[in-house]
Amino acid sequence: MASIWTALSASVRGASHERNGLKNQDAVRLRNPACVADPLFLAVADGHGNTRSFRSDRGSALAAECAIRVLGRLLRVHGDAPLSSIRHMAKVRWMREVIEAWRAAVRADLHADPFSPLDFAAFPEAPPIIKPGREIPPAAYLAYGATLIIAVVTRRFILYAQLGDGDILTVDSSGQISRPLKRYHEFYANQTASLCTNQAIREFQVRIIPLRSGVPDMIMLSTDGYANCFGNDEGFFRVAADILGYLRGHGTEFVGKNLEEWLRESSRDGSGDDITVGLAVRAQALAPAPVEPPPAS
Amino acid sequence: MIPRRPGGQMTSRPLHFIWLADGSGSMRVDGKIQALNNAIREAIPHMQTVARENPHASVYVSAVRFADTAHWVGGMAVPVTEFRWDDMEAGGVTVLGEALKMIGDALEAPLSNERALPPILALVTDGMPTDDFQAGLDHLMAKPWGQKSLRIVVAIGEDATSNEAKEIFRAFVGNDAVRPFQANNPEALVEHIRWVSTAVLKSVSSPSSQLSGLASEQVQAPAIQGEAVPVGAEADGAGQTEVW
Repeated sequence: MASIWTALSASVRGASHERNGLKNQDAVRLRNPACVADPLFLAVADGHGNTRSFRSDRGSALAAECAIRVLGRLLRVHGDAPLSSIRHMAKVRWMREVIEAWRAAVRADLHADPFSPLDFAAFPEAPPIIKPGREIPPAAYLAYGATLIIAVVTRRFILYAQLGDGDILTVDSSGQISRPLKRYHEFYANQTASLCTNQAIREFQVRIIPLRSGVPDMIMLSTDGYANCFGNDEGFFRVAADILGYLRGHGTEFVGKNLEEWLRESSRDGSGDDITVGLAVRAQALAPAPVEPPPAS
Repeated sequence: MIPRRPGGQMTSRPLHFIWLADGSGSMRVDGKIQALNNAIREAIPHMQTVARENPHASVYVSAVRFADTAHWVGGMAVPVTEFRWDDMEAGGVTVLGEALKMIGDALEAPLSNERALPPILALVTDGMPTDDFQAGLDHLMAKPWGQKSLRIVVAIGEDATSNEAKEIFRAFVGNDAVRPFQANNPEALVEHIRWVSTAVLKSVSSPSSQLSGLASEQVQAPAIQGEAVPVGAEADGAGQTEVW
């Protein structure tokens, strides 16, 4: 029986950003399947938020939007290709297209709203000059710098992709919590890879897992502000277990209603950073276990 | 009522601030060591205020004195609220390399866990190391938390302005956007040390991200954000008498 998936999300401005009058630099976008045959798309992005990345709230929104738009188009064309071919395309071509789409979106945003001298008042150099049709300098992309995490659930496989910090967790039916992608040590201490660098394509991690090798009950994408609330992975993993527990016990509406407040409380008592979560939940995992018919007498 | 938030116990993120204080014989000349003692002692309440204003970071302060040997002064990783500065004596040579090696060894688990903020290493010195500085720096930089540390220099007096000294400081800082703070009189020293203790601490304890590894070489992101550098930071305490 094909699985039916539902996505929900929330994003809150960090307690520290609220105190300092900064915007929420995170973004989340999702596209729920309209029918069983449709993929589910979930993308979470985290703008760097440092002084050089002063438009990273826009950069993260563009990143999440581009990811869903580009992968939606590519899956419509190639979604039925053999898995080995999809693995190859996803790693070599698809992520490059996502990055290129983001860069094009940044250039379009800059043409519509060029940097002002005030934007660069704190820096020794003048704002870069942006000319239509010409490549823009690295400092311009850096202004929009963001990370990106993606999950796409299709009828045959799940695609996980990640550039930079943040977390993807899965919870299976036995309650086992895993990371489908490796967590890189380099991304501790607020350091991260980014869409804004030329290394982005090399630093994008991609994994395709066929559904026949096991289907998780829940996939959780989150920006690093969430994991950084906890002293270790054990405390953070409990977030996924607890949310799945609430989903099973109280349903998606209940979780959707409370998620934002949970994130706000976590930021206040933990990292102080913006926190964003995207959840993909398998409907069958929430349904009560079917009652076995009594044995025939 | 909002149901219990998901997840385990929350903690603020550890942030280690380490003073590397030059206690060599040359620091005795013209009262430099006493000026250093005064400047750091004066900065402590300001550090405590900054730490109090950011409940999302747990600031721990340590100090290493280096002269004939390097050793921790007053214990390692003291919560900033309990940190006290006892007057340091000057005498002996300048084993900065040994101090860096010691810090490299210390900045590992359990002192720094994967949720920690980048450590700050603040070197206050009036001159050249007398041991194998490069070996000590290589050792520090071979450690993940050494690489991630933000390294700052407060250079005291004219001897610290030689090309040789500048090369040492440049290698230690490892980022051309972060220049040494030059202090040629006690007032400038107080000002620079207070800035390092507050503005740098405040910036590092913020949750914004920096580009990592190769990326940061390609597109330079300043490590210290949103804070004005004090007047004369890259000069010598402009407008004040030069006594060192």
